[in-house]
Amino acid sequence: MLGICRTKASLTLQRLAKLNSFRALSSFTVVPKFALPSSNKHISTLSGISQHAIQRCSQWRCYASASSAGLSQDKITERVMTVIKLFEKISAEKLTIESHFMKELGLDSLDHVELLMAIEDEFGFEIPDQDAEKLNKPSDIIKYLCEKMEDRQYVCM
Amino acid sequence: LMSSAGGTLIRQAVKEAKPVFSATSEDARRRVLNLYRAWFRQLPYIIREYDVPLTLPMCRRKLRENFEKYRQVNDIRVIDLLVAKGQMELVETAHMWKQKTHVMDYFKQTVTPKPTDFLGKFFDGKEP
Repeated sequence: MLGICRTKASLTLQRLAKLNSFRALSSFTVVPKFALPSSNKHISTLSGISQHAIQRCSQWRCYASASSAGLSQDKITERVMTVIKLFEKISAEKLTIESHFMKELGLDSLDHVELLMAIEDEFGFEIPDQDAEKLNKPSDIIKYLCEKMEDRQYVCM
Repeated sequence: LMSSAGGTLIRQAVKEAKPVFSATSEDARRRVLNLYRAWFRQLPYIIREYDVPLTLPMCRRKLRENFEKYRQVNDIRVIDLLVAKGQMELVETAHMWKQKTHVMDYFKQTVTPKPTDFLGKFFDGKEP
C-alpha cells in the first residue's frame, strides 16, 4: 500500500495493477457470495472484488458441494459462454467454443483485455499476463479455468 | 560502445538507445495492457467519487479513444513514456488529487473545434 504514495516514474505498472488498491478507501465493501445451486446470478455485479476480499470470503462456510457450486466443466462452460455472449462487441451468431477472438470474431487486443476482465470478475480471481496472452478461444479459457479451479480447490463463489 | 584502434581514438558510437522501462516490444505491450486494465477497473470509482455527469459507457469509450490515439506508435521508448504519463494520470485521479473539472477536461466539452473549411476560417477571420 505504501507504494502508491510514491509517484516516481520507476513505479512499475505490474505492481500497481496487482495491488488492486485504487479503491475509495471509504467505500470498500466485502459482500460474500454463497455458491448456492439456486443462484442464477451468473454475472458478478461487483467489479471491485480484490484478492483480499476473496481470501476473506473463503473463510465463510459454504453449503454447496463442489459439483453444484459451478466447478464442473459444464457449469464453467456455461458461465464462460454467458459472459462472452453479454460482451457487446461479439455477435452471438458467430460465437462457438472454438472461435478465435482475434481472427474470427474481430476483436483487438484491448477488447480481449476487457473480455478477460469480465471473466476475472465472474470467477473472482486474477488471470496473470503470461496466461492471458494465450487465451485466444473460449475453449482455451474453459480449459484454463478448470485447471485453476482444481489448483485452488475453490469451493466458494 | 566505444572502440579505440591502436593509438588513435576512433570512437564508434553505436547508436543504440538506452531503454526507458521495457527492453522488448512484448514488455511494452504488457505495460500498455496493464495500464488499460487499471484504468478500466478504476472508472466506476472515478464516476462515483468525482460525481461527474458521465455514464460508464461514455467513460469506457473515452478511455478507448485515448488509447486508440496512439495505436500507430511503434517506438518502444515512446510507448514507455506514454504509459508512464498515463500511469501518472491514473495515480492522480485515483488519489483524488484532481478535481471534477480535471476529469471533465478529458471530454473537452467546452472546446469549440477549429474550422477546417474555407468558409469557417473566413468567418473566424483567419487569412487563407
